[in-house]
Amino acid sequence: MKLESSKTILTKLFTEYYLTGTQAKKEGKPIAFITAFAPVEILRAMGVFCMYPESYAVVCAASKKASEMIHASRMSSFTQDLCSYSLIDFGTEHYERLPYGGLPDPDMLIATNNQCGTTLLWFKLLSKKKNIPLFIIDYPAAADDRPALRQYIRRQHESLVEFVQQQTSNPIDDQILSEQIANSKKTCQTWKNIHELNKQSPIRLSANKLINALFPIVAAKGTKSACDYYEALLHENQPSPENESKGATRLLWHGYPMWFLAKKFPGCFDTDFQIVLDDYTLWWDLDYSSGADPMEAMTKAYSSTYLNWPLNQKLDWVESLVDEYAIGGVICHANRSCRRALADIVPLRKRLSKRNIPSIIVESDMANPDFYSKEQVRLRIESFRETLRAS
Amino acid sequence: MTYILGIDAGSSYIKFVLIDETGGIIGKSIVPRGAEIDASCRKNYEILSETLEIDQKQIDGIIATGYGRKQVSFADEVITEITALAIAGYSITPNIRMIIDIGGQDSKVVSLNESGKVIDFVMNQKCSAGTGKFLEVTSASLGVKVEDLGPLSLNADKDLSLSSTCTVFAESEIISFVAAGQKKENIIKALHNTISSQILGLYYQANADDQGEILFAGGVALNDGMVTQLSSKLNQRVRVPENPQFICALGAALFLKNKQMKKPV
Ligand code: SF4
Repeated sequence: MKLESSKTILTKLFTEYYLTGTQAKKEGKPIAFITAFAPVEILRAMGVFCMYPESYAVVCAASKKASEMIHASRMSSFTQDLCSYSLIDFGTEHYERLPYGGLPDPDMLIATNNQCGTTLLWFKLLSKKKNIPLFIIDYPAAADDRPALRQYIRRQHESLVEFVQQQTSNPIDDQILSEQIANSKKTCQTWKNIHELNKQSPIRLSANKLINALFPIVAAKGTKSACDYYEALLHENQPSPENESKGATRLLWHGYPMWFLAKKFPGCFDTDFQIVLDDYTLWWDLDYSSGADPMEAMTKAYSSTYLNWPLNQKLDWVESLVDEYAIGGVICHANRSCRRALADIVPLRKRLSKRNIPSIIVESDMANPDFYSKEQVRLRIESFRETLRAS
Repeated sequence: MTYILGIDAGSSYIKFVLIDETGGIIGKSIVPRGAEIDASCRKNYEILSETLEIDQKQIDGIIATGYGRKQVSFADEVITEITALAIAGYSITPNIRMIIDIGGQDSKVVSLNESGKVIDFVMNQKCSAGTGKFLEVTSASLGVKVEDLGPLSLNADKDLSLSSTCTVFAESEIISFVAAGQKKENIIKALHNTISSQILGLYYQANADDQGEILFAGGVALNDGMVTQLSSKLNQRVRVPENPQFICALGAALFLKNKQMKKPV
């Protein structure tokens, strides 16, 4: 039997995600809006269809609608200083030409604080405005080696089950939950393996291609289709035997891409310089390795997300990527939207500087093109190239 | 004798520096940018060569830097201001470890190692806080010429503080200060203080190798009030080169000269 190509699976996954959402609504099936690092496996095991407003904001930004939608959010008096994902979401109410006709109205909201505090306020507002029940999960940082904290998270996951049951009357299907966790684990492992192909020169998948391959791990993690997608992608990109080095300086992009740009990164690199990795795509490689018990696996996976790590753990991790991927320079995206992600840039640059790894800061936003100044970014990157060339 | 022309097409002014084979400056000029950068560069190149009575055939190379560098169609080479600043700074004295350049549109802090290589650089955020534009706009609202800001600020007798670094908001704060009868001198000192604080932020971010001299380049370095404020914030007297506004153009010309010397004959 001929295997489906990754491209075919991706297209299917993408269209199905939006179509199923609309269909589920029509059929009266429960729909949840969830934040990027919410324990989706529990919800799926209880028959809830999950949609990610952050991922939808990315679609809006990539289809060049972010600016208008953010302006539209002003009609609800939101300050433009908020995270642009949330502003895009707030703008949907006052904007007509929504990609895929917009997201269906949710029946419940699940928000977590393992990425930022913005999502909590954002979802609280949605809950209040539309009168939709909200469940919040608190993931303390560094819970891994503290049994009491792990227990605390576990209890919240159990309360989530009770909450969903109250909303839907659906019990949890343990069999589905185990399958979902197994799929999530496999998906993350394959995603990591795909990245590792770029440890060699020439790289197999550009950072831009990796960004374009992100959707399944964000919105379909836990499903068999997501597993199949990454298996196919890995299979299609096996390292070629003649992997001799091409001598380009290998760059790491630290932080969010710029979704509104066609190539997701500013296009001012010549053949001597190549972004071989954006560490943002690896933020989605969650660790499901702790034990066979699904609840235990989720405790670790969702409490140890990149944005929830203590500062030193973040810096150690980026430093390890610099070594493993033979990085010669780092471009840090100071993403105006995300305070959590901004906080590590200055200490990271200090660390890198001690190791003589050159780095620069490029200021912009992940989704709002109004904060992107092409010429200013170009000047910084060109100056960086000259500096790297001279060193 | 042959020469090299360095052009710094900045956001407010275009600066020209002509150097000879020894790297010595033999002529320079500065003109407001104008809308047509290329045409303005050509015209002023003509004027400079005529004034200096130099046949353009003797000009061995032309290099452009600055915000409008790519628009100088007759340049043989372009480089960014970061590289230009580093080369010029190091040529002034190898003790330089930091260069602060406050330009019309952006401010930069470049740190160098002992061999003059750039080890880091930081630029201001993309707004006019901490740039020459900030001084230009705010001085206009005080009715003071930019060149008078320095001497006036040295006569300040009171510390005022501006709470905003944004040019637009600072302008309205200035108007309130004036309405409250505050002396111009004190308001100007507060302006300098605001810019110096912005620069200090950049200074801490640009990972310096070790302590060395700090060079203050760009037209704003002609302002003694700024030099005093910046030096006091940095706890070190910053060094102002001769003709600080021509440093980038000089660095660019030196870059091309060095490159040509390395070329096999
Ligand atoms: S971009 Fe940052 S602030 Fe916005 S939702 Fe994501 S983690 Fe939160």
